[in-house]
Amino acid sequence: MTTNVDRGRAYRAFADAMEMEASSRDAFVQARCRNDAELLREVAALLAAAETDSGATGLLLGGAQLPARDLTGEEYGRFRLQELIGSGGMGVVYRAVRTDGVPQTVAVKLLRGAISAEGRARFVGEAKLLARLEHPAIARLIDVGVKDGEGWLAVELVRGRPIDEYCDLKHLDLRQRIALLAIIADAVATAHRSLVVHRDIKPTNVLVDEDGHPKLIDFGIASALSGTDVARDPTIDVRRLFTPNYAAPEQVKGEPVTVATDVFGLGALGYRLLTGLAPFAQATSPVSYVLAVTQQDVEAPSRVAAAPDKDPRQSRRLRGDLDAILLKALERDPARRYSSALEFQADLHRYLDGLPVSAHTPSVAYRLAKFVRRRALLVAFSVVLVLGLIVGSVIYGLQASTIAQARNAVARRGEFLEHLLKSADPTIGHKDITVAQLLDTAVKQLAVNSGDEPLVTASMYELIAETDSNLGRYAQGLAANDHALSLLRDHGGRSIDLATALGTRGDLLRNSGRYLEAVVPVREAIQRLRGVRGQEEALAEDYDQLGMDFANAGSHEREAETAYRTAINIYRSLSSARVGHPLGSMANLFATEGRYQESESLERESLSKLQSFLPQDHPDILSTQNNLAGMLVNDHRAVEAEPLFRDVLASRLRVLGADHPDTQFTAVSLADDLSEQHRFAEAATLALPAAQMLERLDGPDHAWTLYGWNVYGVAACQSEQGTQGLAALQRTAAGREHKYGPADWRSTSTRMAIGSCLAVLKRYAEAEPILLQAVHDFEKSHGPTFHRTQAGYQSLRDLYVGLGRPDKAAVWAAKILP
Amino acid sequence: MTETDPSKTVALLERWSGGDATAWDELITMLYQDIHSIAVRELRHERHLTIRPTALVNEAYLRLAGLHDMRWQDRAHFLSMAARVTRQALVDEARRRRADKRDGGTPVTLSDANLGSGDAGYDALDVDALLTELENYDEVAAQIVSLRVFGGLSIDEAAEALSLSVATVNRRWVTGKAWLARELLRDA
Repeated sequence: MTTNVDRGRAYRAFADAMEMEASSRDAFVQARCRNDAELLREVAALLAAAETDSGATGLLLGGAQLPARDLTGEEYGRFRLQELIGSGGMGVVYRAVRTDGVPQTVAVKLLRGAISAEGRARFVGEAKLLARLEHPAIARLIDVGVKDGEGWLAVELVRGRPIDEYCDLKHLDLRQRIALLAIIADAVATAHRSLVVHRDIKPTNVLVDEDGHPKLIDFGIASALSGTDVARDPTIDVRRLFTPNYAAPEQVKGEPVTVATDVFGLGALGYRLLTGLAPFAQATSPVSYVLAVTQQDVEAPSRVAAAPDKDPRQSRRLRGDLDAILLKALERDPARRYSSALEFQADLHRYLDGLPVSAHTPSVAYRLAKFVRRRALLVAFSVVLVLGLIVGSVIYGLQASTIAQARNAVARRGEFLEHLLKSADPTIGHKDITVAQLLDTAVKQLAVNSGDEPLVTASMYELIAETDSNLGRYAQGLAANDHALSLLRDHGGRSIDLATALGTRGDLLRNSGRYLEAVVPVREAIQRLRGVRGQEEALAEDYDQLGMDFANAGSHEREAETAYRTAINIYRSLSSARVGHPLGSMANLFATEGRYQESESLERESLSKLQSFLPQDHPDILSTQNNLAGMLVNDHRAVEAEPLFRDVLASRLRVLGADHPDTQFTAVSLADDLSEQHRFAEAATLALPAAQMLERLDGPDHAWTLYGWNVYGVAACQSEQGTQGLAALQRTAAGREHKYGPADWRSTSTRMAIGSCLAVLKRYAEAEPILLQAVHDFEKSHGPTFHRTQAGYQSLRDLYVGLGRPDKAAVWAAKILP
Repeated sequence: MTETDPSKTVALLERWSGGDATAWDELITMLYQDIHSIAVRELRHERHLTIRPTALVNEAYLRLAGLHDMRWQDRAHFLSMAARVTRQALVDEARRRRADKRDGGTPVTLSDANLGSGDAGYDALDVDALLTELENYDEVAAQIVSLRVFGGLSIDEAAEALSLSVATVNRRWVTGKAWLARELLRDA
């Protein structure tokens, strides 16, 4: 040691100077080392070594991975670096400004390490993919380049804070958090469509600006999927630091990264936003995270949120749908997660819209809506306590709080009750107590305790009415709805609330088969909503509903068409893909009127719109496909329809399973199609178990059961099982005449099938009068070209051929269209 | 030469992640043996008796990470542990050699990307002593330099391991490194 300077003192002066802006260091050191020339010399030498870095010593940098050198002031393309602002997965990031006078501040990311010739091609290719990404929630790529053999990217500089911090700081509620997450999921889905995976979705990579707009940053480690679902990226160092608590199991294990990896990242992000903790938060060390994420299931969000120090309501809100959605995204096996970010996003939206989500075990969620509608739902005992709690605390709220607080409380609890009831799993807890009993109790309590705040009471009645409607308790629902509506009317309820209650009234009337009566409240709802800003979609939905009510009422086809067209116009003016719904409704209307060409093009447009925003297996898409295929059958295009039916059947088997009415309905439709193609034996084989299953699921009098037996009967008669076929048809005829009346076309159709069957069985004398009457009825109701009328002509022709009456056969044969 | 027993390592990792702190100490002990044995082997074969600490660490890392399909990829935390162990193993080996007549007191010298390039080598004991001195002035800077030099950690890995911001680690690294380099040059 050649110096007498106090080494510690010199170091501390040096280190303090290093903490200052470079420009003020000299002055600082001069002041600090006043009267001590040796100290000054020593500190200055250290500063010089540090500031020129490797240049001074030539020793300590070498091929370090990261330029520790301060690059402030350096130029990269059109940009000058201003300040080091961070380090991403691949290198350092500087804030930079344009040098050409354009006022633009960007983030310039310097990629670590020299790029080989091969790497350069890859870099440019990746940059092209990144540049293609255009989404309001993705930080835009502005420019790329290579300097001194190292690549750099200029990207949109996002000023904001990490999404988790933002949500907590702004006290965002559950729905607001979900909405933010849905935007990010949409951005990720957009990236996936451009073959880019993000790989590192986590709170610090999602920044939210002052206006609440989230942006996904750092696609730096994204890699092209280049046409395949799987990318094994040789440029990624296997030792690359991943982000504990957000990395997917396959990333931790070094397995291929796919879109499912981003689905996991989205799930982990959602988990953090909704529970306050990242998945496996108990794994505080990265090693324990690796073990946890590869070997354990994620704890249900509602259980995490149930910690004693947490607001207990949060846990209840998460239970059910949100648990299901997040756990599905966080499945350990990538194949069991949502198959795309889009599906994940669609489920979030479904949750926000109060629709059944797809995340539940395959069939349950999907079938729930229908199940609830058809059957009295039984749920576990805990619901009683919960509902008691709700009613009790609302009443408490009325006494204790301001109106606004009470309203909030009701809104929150309503959301919760709605959620609870809608997500209750009907396959468990078939005992204890029915929700029906709960609702009756709730109504009684409301009657006793209402008073102070009529609008709050109205919202409770409305909630009960909606639940009744879902449960098929139409009379009780109408009573509750009456209370809600009169309270709203008498006490100046908002238009939107009135429209909602009116909509519920429409549902209740419609579901009890009173279609024309349903028109009245729906029309009033439309009047209330017309011109209300932000309610355009709801208005269009009501018009669609109005059209369906007219169409179902019969004899009001033009009113129905007008309503559909209005709905279509509104959706189109909003550029909303939901226009698919009224398009499909109108297609069905036209199909029943025999306007097949118009119907087909509408149905196909409907399908493509619906497919643009709904997952492939969504019930609406499947039923639209089913309708389209049915329409093709009516248009004598059974061969074309067959693959469509088979598609729908396969999807429904997968989503719903075999023991679901929708699945069996499609099986019957397909059998019907096969019969139209004269493949009677196949048709009978398919229709028999379907009809049996429908009878078991829906009862012998249900429309679909009768349809199933009818199709089986027709096919059986034509495939040498005449006796069984005839028996099935006779039972069906009795059922249909009882259900629809003897003049209904469905009753006629079955009678005609009986006539044809008798003819096949050579029981001509019995067959002749039945067939003649049925054909006459169809000619009158649907005209001579109707496909069932045509089938009747054929049966009569065959009958007379069999009877040895070629003259009469020729008369009927002449009516058959080529 | 001691070889890490894979199944034992897996069991230790599991115990440790389950909250058993003593497992951590056992892991360190095993890792020490591993790294020390690699160092001895390297020193025996390398003519110039210069060790690249990062190479030691990487070898130990790859051995551990490759075990039983367990990919222990948390580089930052592994490396921060390994850096500590490597420093200790090299210093011990250098002291042993200095005392051992047969080895003629040949010093163990270090060479690494983070330390210097090419043939420049520094006595491991000098580096250790200077880092120990730096700890008195600036513990954080000393830790960063130690991680970088003995474990080969990048700036962001060091930031991760020490729970500091990248900007802070970068600044303190430049500071600590400049000081170390100047002191090493002064001694040379």
